[in-house]
Formats: sequence, structure tokens, C-alpha cells
Amino acid sequence: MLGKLAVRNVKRSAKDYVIYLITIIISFSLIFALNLISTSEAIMNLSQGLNTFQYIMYFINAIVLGVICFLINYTTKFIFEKRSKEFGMYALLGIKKRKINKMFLLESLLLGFIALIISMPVGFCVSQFLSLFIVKILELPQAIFIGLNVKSFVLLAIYFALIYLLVLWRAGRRMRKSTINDLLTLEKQNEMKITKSKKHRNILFFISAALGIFSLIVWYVNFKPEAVQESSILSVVLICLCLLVVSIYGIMISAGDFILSVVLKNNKIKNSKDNLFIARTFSAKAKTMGFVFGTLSMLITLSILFLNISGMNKGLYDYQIDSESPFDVAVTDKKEHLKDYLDIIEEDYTIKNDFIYDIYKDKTAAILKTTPAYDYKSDERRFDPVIRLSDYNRLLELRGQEKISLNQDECIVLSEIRFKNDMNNIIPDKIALSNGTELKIKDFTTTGYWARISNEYYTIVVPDKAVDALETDTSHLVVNTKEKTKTQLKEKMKTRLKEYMTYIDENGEEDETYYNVVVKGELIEATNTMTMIISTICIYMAFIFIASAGTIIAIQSLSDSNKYKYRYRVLSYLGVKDENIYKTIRKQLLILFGIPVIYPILINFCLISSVNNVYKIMLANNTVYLSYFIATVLEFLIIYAVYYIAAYFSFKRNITEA
Amino acid sequence: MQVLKIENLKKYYGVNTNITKAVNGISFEMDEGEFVAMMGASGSGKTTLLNCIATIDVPTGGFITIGDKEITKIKEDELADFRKDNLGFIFQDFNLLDTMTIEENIALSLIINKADSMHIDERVEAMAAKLGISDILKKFPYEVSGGQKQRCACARALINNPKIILADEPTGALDSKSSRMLLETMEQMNRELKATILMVTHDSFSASFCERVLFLKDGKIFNEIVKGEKTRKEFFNEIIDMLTLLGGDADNVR
Amino acid sequence: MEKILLKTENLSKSFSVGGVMQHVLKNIDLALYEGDFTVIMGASGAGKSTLLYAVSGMDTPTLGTITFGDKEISKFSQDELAVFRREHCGFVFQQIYLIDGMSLMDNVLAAGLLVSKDKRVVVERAKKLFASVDIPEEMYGKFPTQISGGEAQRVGIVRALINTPEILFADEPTGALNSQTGLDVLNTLTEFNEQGQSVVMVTHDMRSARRGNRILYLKDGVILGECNLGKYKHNDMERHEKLSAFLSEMGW
Repeated sequence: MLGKLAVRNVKRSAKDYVIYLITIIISFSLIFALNLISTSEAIMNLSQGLNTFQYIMYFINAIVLGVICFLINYTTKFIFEKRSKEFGMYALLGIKKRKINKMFLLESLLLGFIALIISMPVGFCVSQFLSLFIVKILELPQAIFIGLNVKSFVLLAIYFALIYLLVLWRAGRRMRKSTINDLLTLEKQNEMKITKSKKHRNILFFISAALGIFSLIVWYVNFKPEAVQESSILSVVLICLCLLVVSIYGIMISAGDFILSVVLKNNKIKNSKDNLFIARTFSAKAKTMGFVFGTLSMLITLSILFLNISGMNKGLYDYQIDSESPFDVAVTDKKEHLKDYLDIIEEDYTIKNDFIYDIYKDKTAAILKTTPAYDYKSDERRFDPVIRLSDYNRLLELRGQEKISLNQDECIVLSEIRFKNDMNNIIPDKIALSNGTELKIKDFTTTGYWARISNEYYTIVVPDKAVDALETDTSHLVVNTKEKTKTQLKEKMKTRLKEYMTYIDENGEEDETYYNVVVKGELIEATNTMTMIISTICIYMAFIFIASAGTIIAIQSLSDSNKYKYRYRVLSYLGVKDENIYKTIRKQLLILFGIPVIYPILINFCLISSVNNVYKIMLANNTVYLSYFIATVLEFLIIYAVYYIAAYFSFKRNITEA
Repeated sequence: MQVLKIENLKKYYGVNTNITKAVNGISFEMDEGEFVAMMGASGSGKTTLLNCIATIDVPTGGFITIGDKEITKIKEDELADFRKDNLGFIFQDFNLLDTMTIEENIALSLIINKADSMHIDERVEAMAAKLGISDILKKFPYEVSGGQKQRCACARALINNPKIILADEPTGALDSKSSRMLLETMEQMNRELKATILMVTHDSFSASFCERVLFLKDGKIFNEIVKGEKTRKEFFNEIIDMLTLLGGDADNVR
Repeated sequence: MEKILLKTENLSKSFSVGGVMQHVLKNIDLALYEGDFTVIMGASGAGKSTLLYAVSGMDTPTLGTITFGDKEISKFSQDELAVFRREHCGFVFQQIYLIDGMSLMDNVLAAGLLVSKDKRVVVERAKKLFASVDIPEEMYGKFPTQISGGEAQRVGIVRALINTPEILFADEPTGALNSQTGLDVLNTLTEFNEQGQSVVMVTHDMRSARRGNRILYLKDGVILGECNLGKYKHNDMERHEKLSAFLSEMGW
């Protein structure tokens, strides 16, 4: 008898909570798919970066599971409250509470189990798609099939068990604590809470807004390029984040009342159209959901943040590639050896242009002397690296950039950002080279520097004559190829020219200098991998967060549509047309879904703008971050909108059912 | 002036062999300012009739004219507008919006009719004063008694000057004291504010406040009695006698 | 002297509401007799429902004892109370509380099968009860959402009586119904009472209260007064007046 009832209950729950089930199925599918990928040997062996993916996934999954647990717990509690009257009836009939408890727990477990089972084949398919995606990014010749393995199933089962253990424990406790009367009248108790007004909510709103603005300003002011290097920035960041969190919760808790008070103050707004109706129903909802709204807002803030990171990350990596390897191949070695490298390249690639130049040593080391590094260096390494102007110009030309000019008594110092920051106030006006040449420093810049221009973190560009009588430090070869370079090229060089790239150090051990060869393709591949990993993780987490938030709001609004059908019937009696009622519902849902989103978007915009202050030099230009931001917001809104639309149609259907 | 005219109204449910004739040929008229009750056992058709007049249900046959418009000819998407402009409702279960104050519930009727937003508050206060609910305007429905809620519903129904107010068992959910207060209020609405009210009820006490009482049985008008010069107590007894004739019992006594 | 079904001694019930202790029932001594149609009346908030819940085993008292026959139910655990309820009490509530997902027959069977293992016997009894409340066999398979309020409440009465409880408890049984259907329900309760079923009903409606033969008036947590109306007779104006007089004396 009760078994039949339990099954019927599960069927009914499944129908009412379709949106929830779908979100859970998708979530488990994603977890399963990523598990399969990260445990697939074929994929993991593709590159160095991917190997660490598996361990990163454990950590990420912990966070994701936390959010899913929150979602499932919330929904279970929600279903319990909706059905509390029913449970009260069972108790009334004389069914022992323990038995009722068991029935509900079994139903909840069954619901989750169904989702789990469905998620497995879905996850399997998703993993194949992901694999195809990886293959394309890494430009591999053939597709990799992701096989099933026991580990993934076991992991999934463990995750499921952990979540449900917690959820069921809490559900059981809830049931045990309620008396029969509690169960029967729970809904009415909640209704009383809704309409009791709380004064002073507006004060909370303004304080929270002020807190938020304050923390964003503090963040903006402190997040400067120079400050980023110091450790004190960490405490500032933490304080700002804490204040922001408090601010988010405060605003969400008081948002409903604030909007209501604005509407009520203005006669014109209050008394026209559906403003009063919407404001009142929203504020009633917000009163019971304040804290949950806050949590949802947090989730949304984080999800937009992740999407932003994913977007900007690609831009930053592009910069990184260009600043490490502007040429397809760059080699540092003795001049005699350079031809051998060239030969190897020519075997597989068409050479567009190649160029060999020298770096000279200036023993006076005027620049080096101004840094603490001077003391650490051995005698033979105490010099400033110098390059001839014509060589440098040729290099600029090969990079497609404009040549520079120098007077006979001028020079330019190129350096890495970090190096320049170290030097700061003690940049000399002029230097004297060891061969007697005196040069004024025309410019001390980080633009145009790249990592392998010399063996140091900086280089001085001098007029050609100025290198007379200076010793050579190293020779460099740069090559641009017609085809895109691949990692195999470097591997080939490592094997064939092993003796060039290894040496015996003072301890008699073999050391390698593979860093002397930079192949652009290898870098691109490495950063592509990293980009892909970071993007996957960010999008994965963002999706779970958005889906959870959307689901919670959707099921909340759907339960309202059942409970408050009569409100719309009253409107109909009073003479409101059906199409206007639907318009009102759309507006109501828009506010319900929209309010938790507004503040997060603002916060993210401010955060990203200030982060851009630091990283803008690495991006194409000062405002490209805006396009990343807009793209991010659009991605977010697309997923979120799906939940809005689903909620609207379900709501409408519930209202029009007789 | 004639406000309501019903001609040979029919409402049938079901198909072929299983037809229920809920309303089976009813005709009557109401003039402006009348307070009329419709009584009858459940299944006699009174609620169905009320629903047809309220434009919630579509009659199978016959005509209903309110004011100068024949509702049976109004297109479905214009029905809402018609209700808005011409009808007022009082239900047994109040049907107030729980998230809005009493004041706002009353105002809703005006808002829907796109009244001038500057004057809505004044009009609501004036109406509330007339019905004796000025002191509860800022309260929420859950905070006030059934009787007060129903008076709020009356205010909402009345404030837009509808051609006719339709009341469906308005005292159904009230105890005797509140019922009496409500009926006196409705009587006042009818007398002083010239409201035209058609009330469906099962309760003789409520009906005795009206001037005319129609008795329905099996979808037809069985009889009609008029108060005329009688006292309410006399009229009340007359109603009870009529009900006994119809088949009721002393349990229709409050 | 009629048989005492249930007795309370010094029954008290207090709740903590928002940090403040509310003493809803104060030292109530009460006896419920077999065959009576006992009505508990009082203003809203006087504690009528609380008293009903306490004597029917839905709630445990804060102080005092409740004895049913030879069992001291005030000392029972939650589980023991559940068993007590299903075997000895029947409940009819204002909100009716039929289970939406089950048919009318299943609703009754669910209650019946909790006590009796023999499905056939339970079905037989259910059919008889359904007949006595005018619910035809065609309707057995319908669902609560498909029937009217009055019909639902009558099914509620069938469910309450399926295990032949000693006492049928009713909390505002006609509260959610319109006058006509409320009447049908009251008639049903009266009929069963005439056949010997003990009924205890809480109401604030005079028309319903008139059905009882023993009226208790609850005020401020104590039984202020009691009135004996004698057995219900159709169209009895005398009882109506006697009740009115009693109630105005009580200050209703």
C-alpha cells in the first residue's frame, strides 16, 4: 500500500521538478565526463600540461560537489515543506513518524538515483565530444575514443553517496523535529512570516551598498601594477572580498523591501499598471528567500568571474607567447653551431627568413652595478649585454615593427618588466662602455623586449660603432618559417644536437640547456593546453553555478504558481485581460531572476576594470577587456535565460490549468 | 433604468445522453438600485447562472444584457474589459490578495481601470470611510477578521461604480455577528450609494435583507417574492416558508 | 451512568511563542462519555483545537494526565501514540486532508490496512460506510481533486470510521464547506451518532453546535460552562434557543 504510494509520489515529484532533475542530470553528466577524460590515459599522455589535469579535477570537483550538494539539499527541503501537510496527514492516520521519514528518504534517494543512472550515458557522450574538442585544439591527426573505466564509475558513486548521505541526514533530522501540528500548518506559518513587515530594511540596503562601493574603490585604488608584486596586496584583496560578500548578502536581503518602498513612495508608479502587484509579490518572496538570494547572488558573481577569467586568460596567453617567442624559432649557441640548427629546420620547413646576430659584453656593467644582482654574479658574468642598432632594427623588421633610430651618443635600454621595477629610482642618465664610448640613455623601456633577445633580463641597444673592441657573449639565430612549427622540431633538435645542448658541470653531472632553443609551436601548444584546461574548468564551474541558481529560482517560482493560482484568478475577475496577466508574469519572473544578477555584473565590471589596469599592457589595447566582459555577460545570460524561459512556460501552464 | 436582462437563458453540460441542464430557460430583469437574492438548493443552477452573468461561463442558449450590451455577443478577448468596466464581485472566500494591504486591495480595482493615479488614494479612503473600514486600511488580510475582509471586498467591488455587483454566498464563511454586519453594510451600499446587487445565497437570513428573492429549482425559476412593505422579520418568515415548500428545513435558519 | 471513554486530570498545555510562554490549557478536568455528541465551543484562540489535539493523542500535554480506558496516553511515546490513534480514534478536519495521489477507496483502505491485515474485510466495511454517506460505487476510483468539497468531507468521515474508533474527533468539519454541503456533513455525523458513535466536535458555528447533546464552553484555557441539550431532534427550535441562551450567558 505505502510502496505504491511512494512510487506514485516519486512520479509526481519528477513531473513537478523537471527543471531540477534536468539540472542534476546535466551536473552529474559533466562530472562523469570530466572524470572519464581526466582518467583517460590516451588523453593525459598528450602533453605535459594535461597530466596535472587529473589532480586539478579532484580539487575542482570538491567545490562543484559542494554547490550541487547545496542545490540538492535546498530542493529536498523545499519538497519536504511543500508536502509537509501530506506527511501530517499520514501521521494523523496513525502511521509512525519513523515510517513516514523512511518513505520520504527513500523517495528522495530514488529521485536522485534516477538522475544518476541517466547521467551516465549522457556523460559518456559528452566525454566523446570533449575529446573531439581537445583533438582539434591540439591539432592532432586522429580522434581519441574515451573508454569507460571502473575508476570513473566508482568516483561518481562516491560523490553521489557523499551528497546524499548529507542531504538525507538533514532531511531526517527535519522530520524528527516536527510535530504533527507543525507538519499540518507549516505552510500557513510561512505565510504569516511573509507579510510581517520588517522596518529598517532600507537602512540595511544603503549600508550594504556603501560597503560594496567602499570595497570596490579600495580594490581599484590598491590594485596597481607596482602593488601587485607585493604581499600586502593579499590582505587588501581579502578584506575587499569579505566586505563584498557581506555587501552582496545585505543587498539581496533588503532588495525586496527597498524596491517596495520606492514604489510605495511615488503615487504615479504605485497606482499605475501592475507595479504595485509585482512589487508586493516580490517583496513577499524576498522576505522568505533573502539569504538564499544572497547565496545565489554569490554563485552568480563567481560564475561571471570564472567566465571572465576564461576569456581574459586567452588574451594574456597570446601576449605571453609573443613576449617569449616572437619568432618561429630562436636559438642561442656558438656561432659555428648555428648552421646545424638551420639545417634541421630546413628538413621539415620552408624558411622565410633567418638572421644571426651577436650579443656583446660591456664589462663596465653600468646598469648591472645598480642592481643587487651585481654582487651575486661571478666575475665572468659581470657585464651588460649589448646589441648593435642595425641588428636590433633587423629584428624589429622581421617582427613587422617599425625601426628605431639613435644618435651616435644615445642608447636604449630594453628590459623585462620585473627588472625595470627593481631598478626604479636609480636609472642613470648616461653610461660609459668599457671601450670608452659614452652614451646618454634615450629611453629605458619594456616595450619590444622579449625573453631570448639575450641571456639576461635586459639588453642595451647601442649605435653600431659603439661595440668596437667589445667581446661577444653569445650568438643568436632567429628563424621565421612558412609553416607553423611543431613541438617535434624541438625534440628533433634535442636528439640530433644533443652534444650542443648538454654539458658537464663542475660536479661532473650532466646538465642540459634546452632553454636555449625556443620553438614557437611548442609554446603555443603548451599555452593552448593551459588555456583549454583553465577554460574548461572555468566554464564547467560557471555552468554548474548558473544552473544551480537558475534551478532554485525556477522551482521557487513554480511552486508559487501552484499555490497562488488564485491571485491571477482574482486579477481575471477584476477585468485584467489574459495577455496582460501573462505580461505581468513575465515581468515578475524577470525581476525574480534579474535582481540577483544586477549587482554581480556591476561588481565583476569593477573588478575586471581594475585588474585590467595591471594587465592592460599585455593585452592588445586598453579597451579590449570590455569586449571580453561583454562576451562573458552574454554567455552567462544565454544559459540563465534558458531557465527563465523554462520557468515562464511552466508557470503559465500551471496558471491556465483549470 | 434596466441594468440586467436575462432572456430564456440555458446552460447545458455534457453530451448526447448524458446532458445536465444546469440552467434550463431562465428569464428575469433587474433595475438600477435593486438588491436581489437568488436562492435554491445546491444543483438548482444558481451558481451556474451567476457565472454566466459574470462572463466566466458561456451560456448554451439565450441572452444576457447588462446595461445596453449583450454579453453573449462580446468577443472573448474583450470580456475582461467588459468585466472591468461593468461588474463588481464579492466572493464567499473573499479573494483578497494576501500580499497587499486592505487599502491596496481596494485600490487595485481603480488601478486596473487606469484611474488617475493622483486621486486613487483619496477615493479609496472615501470609500473605506463609507463602509467603516478606515481603521484597517494599512493592515494585511491575514490581520483582520472575515467580516472586515468581506467589507474590503465590498469596497473593491463598489469603488469603480459598476453597473451590477455579483455576490456569491458572501456570508458563507462568516459567523453570525459578522454576517449581520456585512449584510447591513450591503444594505447601506444599496440604499445610500445606489449599488445594484445580485446575491446568490443559501441563507434565509441573508436573503431577508433584499427586496426581491428569486427561488430556483432544477434550473428554472420556481417563484419570486417581494418584500414590499413587510418588516425584515416578516419577510424572513415568508422566505423560510417558501424554502420549506421547495424542500429545505429549519437548518436554513441561522 | 454512561461509560467514561476518556478522562483528563489537571490537563495543561503551554507553548513558547516568540520567547513568551503561552498557557493555552489550564488544569482541565474533563470526562468524555460513550455515545455522546460532545461539542467544544469558544472564541477563536480559546484553545479548542489544542484541547482536541491533546485528548485525541495528537499532542502530549505539558502537565496532567489523560486516561483512555486503562491506558495513560499522556505518557505514551510518539510511536505509541501513533498506534493508539490508528486503533481508537477517527479524525475529521476542516481542511479534510485527503491524500491527492490516491483514489477515494485507497484513501480509506490506507487507514484501514494500518490496523487490519485482512483486505477483504476492510473493503467490505468501507463499502458499507460509503453507502451510508451516499457515495456510490462508481466514485470509488475517483481522486480527491475530482470531487466536491462536501463529497470529500464525507469520504473523510468514512476514513475516520473505517477502524471503528471509540471516538470520532472533528475539528470544524464544515468550516471549508458552503451551507448546503455543510448541512449534509452534519447530518452524516448526527446519523452515526444516533447509531452509537461517540463524537467530539470543535466548532464556532452555532448551526453545527446545535447537533451536540453536550456543549462545553472553553474560555481562557478553562471550561467555563457546560450545557446539556438532550438528543438531537430535527427542527428542534427549543434546543436552538437553549443553546443561544447558554452561549450568551458564557459571553459569546
